[in-house]
Amino acid sequence: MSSMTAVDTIGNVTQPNSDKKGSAIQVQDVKKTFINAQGDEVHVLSGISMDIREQEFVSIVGPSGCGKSTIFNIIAGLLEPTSGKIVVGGDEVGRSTGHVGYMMQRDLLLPWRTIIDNVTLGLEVKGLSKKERRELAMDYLQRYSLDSFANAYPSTLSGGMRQRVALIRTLVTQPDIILLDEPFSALDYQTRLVLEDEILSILKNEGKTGVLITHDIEEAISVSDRIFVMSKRPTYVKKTYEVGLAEKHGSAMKARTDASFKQYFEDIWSELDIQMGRSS
Amino acid sequence: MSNTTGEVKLNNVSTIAKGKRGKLRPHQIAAMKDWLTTMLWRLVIIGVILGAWEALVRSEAVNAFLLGSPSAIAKSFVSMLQSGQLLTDAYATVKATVLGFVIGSIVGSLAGLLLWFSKKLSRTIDPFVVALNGVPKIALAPMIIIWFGSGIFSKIALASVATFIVALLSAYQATHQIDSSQVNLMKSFGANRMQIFNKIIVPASLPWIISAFRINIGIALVSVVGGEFISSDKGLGHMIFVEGNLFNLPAVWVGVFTLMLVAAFLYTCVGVLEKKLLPWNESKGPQQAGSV
Repeated sequence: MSSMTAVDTIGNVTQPNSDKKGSAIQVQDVKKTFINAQGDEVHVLSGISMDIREQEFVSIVGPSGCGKSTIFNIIAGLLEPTSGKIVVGGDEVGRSTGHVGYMMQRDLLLPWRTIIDNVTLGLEVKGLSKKERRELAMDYLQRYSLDSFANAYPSTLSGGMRQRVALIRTLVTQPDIILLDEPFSALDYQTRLVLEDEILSILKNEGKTGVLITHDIEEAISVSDRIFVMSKRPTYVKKTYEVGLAEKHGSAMKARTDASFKQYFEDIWSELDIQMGRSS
Repeated sequence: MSNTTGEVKLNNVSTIAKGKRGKLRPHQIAAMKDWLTTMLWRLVIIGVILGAWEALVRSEAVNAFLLGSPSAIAKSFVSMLQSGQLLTDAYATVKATVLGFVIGSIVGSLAGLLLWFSKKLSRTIDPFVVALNGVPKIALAPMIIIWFGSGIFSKIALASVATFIVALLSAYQATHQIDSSQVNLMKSFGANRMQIFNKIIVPASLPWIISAFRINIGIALVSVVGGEFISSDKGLGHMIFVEGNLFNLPAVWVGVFTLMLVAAFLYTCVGVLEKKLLPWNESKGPQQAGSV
C-alpha cells in the first residue's frame, strides 16, 4: 500500500510525492537556553541548522547530554526554541503538536490498553470513528504480523515486539515525518539489529522521512543517508556525513559489511571527541 | 469403527463446548489441591482456638463472665437472629457504611482527579488536605452528630467525610505519579488537555484509586461504628456498646464477628470491582491492610 492512499484515509493535506525532493524539516539557527534551579542560564543549543530532505533517513549522534532530545522536543512542538525557527512541510512550527510522529526511547505502551487499543491511541486523538480506527489498526498489525496479539495486553509481549507495536502506533497516524529517539537502546543486541533493519525498510517502503537520535555510532552508519554529528553543550552541528550505505546495499544489516563502514566509524568517533575518564 | 470415530468427535465437541473453562490441566488441579489444604488448615486453626477457649471456660481456668464462651456466643447469636435484632442492627450499619463509603470515595476520587487540571488550585490547597488527612476523622463525630442528629444521616456523613479525604488525597497523588512521557506522547499526537485527562490521567490513576477504596472500607466502618457508639438507636456499634455496658460479653462477640463478616463482604466487593476495572493489572496492586 502506498502512503498516498493511507494519507487520504486520514484526511491530512500533504503535497503529493514529486520526484524532486524538497525539504521535510528545516531547522534554522535554533537556540535554546534553560534556567536551572540555581537561576543560572544554561545554553543547551547554540544555533543549530539542519535541512532534512523528504524521504531521507538521517541520524543525529552526539556526546551524551548534548541536548539531542531537546532538538526533538522542539521539532515536535513540545518545547519552544529560545530563538530560531522550525519549518515542517513548509509551515512554521510554534507550539502546535501533531505534525510529526514521535517514537520515544521507551515504547510507552499503555498497560491498561490491549495492543490494538494502543495502536489506535493517536487515531482517537485525531477523532476517527471506532470502526475506521480498528480497521486501520488491524490492517497495520496484519502487515507486520502482530495481528494475533491484537487483544493481548502489552505486559505479555517481549521488548522487541512492544517496540514494533510502538512504531505501528506512530505509523498508523500516517505522519510524513517520524522522529525516533533512541528507540532501540533498551533492546538486546540481536533484536536491535533485526529491528533497525525492519524499521528502516518500513519507513522507506512507506515513503517516510526519518530522523533518528542515537548514541550508537554503528547503528547510525548502518541506517542513515546522512549523519549529523553534534558537539558538546552548548550544541551545534559539528560535521555532516553523507553515508547512504543502507541505500547502496538495500538493507541496514548488509550496510555493516561495507568496506567503508570502519572508516566512517573511526571518523565519527574521533569527531565526537569522547574523553574517557577525564572531566572536561 | 464408525462408532468409535463418532465418539471421538463427540468428545472433541464437548471439550470445545466447555470453552475457556475446559478441562482442568494438571497445574490447575495442583493449585486447587493447594487451596483446599490451605482452607483445611484455616478450619483447623479456628477449631483449635474455639475448642481451647471453650475448654478453658468450662474448666473455670478463665472467667466466663469476662470472656464469654463459644457456646454462649452461639446461643446468643441464635436468639438475636430469631428476635430479628441482629439483622436490624447489621442492616443499619451496612447501609450507613456502604452509602458513606460510596459517596465519599467516588466524590473524593473525582475531586482528586479534577485537581490535575489546576496546578495553582492544587498547590494552594495541598497543605489543607494533608492537615485534614492527619486528623483522626472520628474526632469529627460529636460535631457531625450535632449537625445531622443521631439517626443514620450522621453516620453516612461521618463515613463520607472520612473516606472523601482519603480518596481525594490518593487520586490527587496518583495524578502526580503519572509518567510525563505518556503525557508527551499524547501531546505529540496533538491531544488536548481533556483527551490527556480521559485517556491517560484517569486510567493510570485507577490502581491507586482502587487501593484507596480498600483502605476506605475500614475507615467507613470505623466511622459508622464509632458514630454509633456515641449516639444512635440501632446498628452493630450501638448493639456492641449497649451490651458491653451490660457486661453481656457473648452479645458483644456476636457484634464483633458480624462486623468481621461485613468487612470481609465489602472487601470482596472491591476485589470484584478491581478485577472488572483493571483486568490488565493482575493483582499486582498494592495490598493494604484495611483498618485504622
